[in-house]
Amino acid sequence: MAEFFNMGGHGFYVWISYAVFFGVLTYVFLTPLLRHKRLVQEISRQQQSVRQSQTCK
Amino acid sequence: MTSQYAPPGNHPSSRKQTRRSWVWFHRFGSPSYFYQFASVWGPRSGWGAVLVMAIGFYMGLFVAPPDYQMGDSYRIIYIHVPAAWMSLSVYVLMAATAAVGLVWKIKVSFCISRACAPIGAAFAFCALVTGSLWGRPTWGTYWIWDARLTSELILLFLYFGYMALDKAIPDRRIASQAAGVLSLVGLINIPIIHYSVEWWNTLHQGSTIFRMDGPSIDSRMLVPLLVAVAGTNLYFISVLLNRVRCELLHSERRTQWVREIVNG
Repeated sequence: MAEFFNMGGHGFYVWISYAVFFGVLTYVFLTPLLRHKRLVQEISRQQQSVRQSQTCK
Repeated sequence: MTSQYAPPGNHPSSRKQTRRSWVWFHRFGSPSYFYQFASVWGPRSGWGAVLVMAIGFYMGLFVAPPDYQMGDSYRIIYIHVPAAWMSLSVYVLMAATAAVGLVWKIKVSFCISRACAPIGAAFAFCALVTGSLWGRPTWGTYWIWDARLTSELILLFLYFGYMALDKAIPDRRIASQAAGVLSLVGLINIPIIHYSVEWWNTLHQGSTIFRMDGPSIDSRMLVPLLVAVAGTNLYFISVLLNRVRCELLHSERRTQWVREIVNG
């Protein structure tokens, strides 16, 4: 197992590469999901305030 | 939410149109239809990406033999090549959808184009960083200003330019058009990146897969690479659809169908 992580002495370069790749991919994957959630909340809040202002009149 | 989505063949309006089979494609120009489509296929391709990428990277790290010259450091290929290929193909898709948007004034097309930019930039960034980390043990340097590396860096800056221009103009329609034109001008960089290893003397190795005489890479190394590329493509489709959903929701927030989705 230690041999596997060592990658013939190049473990540092290989694992940093994989870490960067998966780190960036995870970030890029999560941002639209979070943004979608926020957008839905935002739009529904706006609609509620519109409805409230209409009933007040 | 999924109830509103129907596969192309089952859609009521398509029965009349069966004689002209390409007509189903036009439905993707409707923001609400595309939103429903993306809501179904975004998560599906996401799970597919997890599965296929897990298989690809398992094969690449555990099954594939070490390289006779580079030893185990070559295993960076399984992320470097998918990232680099995606950075090019995402750019082509971004420019093509911008062109479709410019010619036929289709809003969904611009949304796809805009959604491509940050994903493509992420892939270009990954290609540069992993390439740099691969270069150190094999070439003895993290960076060199040769044709392949420089043109890939320009690609990253083109993505940044697209995103900056799109953000800088307040009017969404004009912003999409301006950024779209920029992406079409930048398209010239794509063949330059691809042929840079042939046109110039570079430290970067030449093509090992897209060759006239077939791939020059051993099949035990090639198969995991192609699986990783397939998984990365599925990942891209998933993120793209999720991003397009956000773009559509934002730009259509005052319409009836968005109201129904948010309340329902």
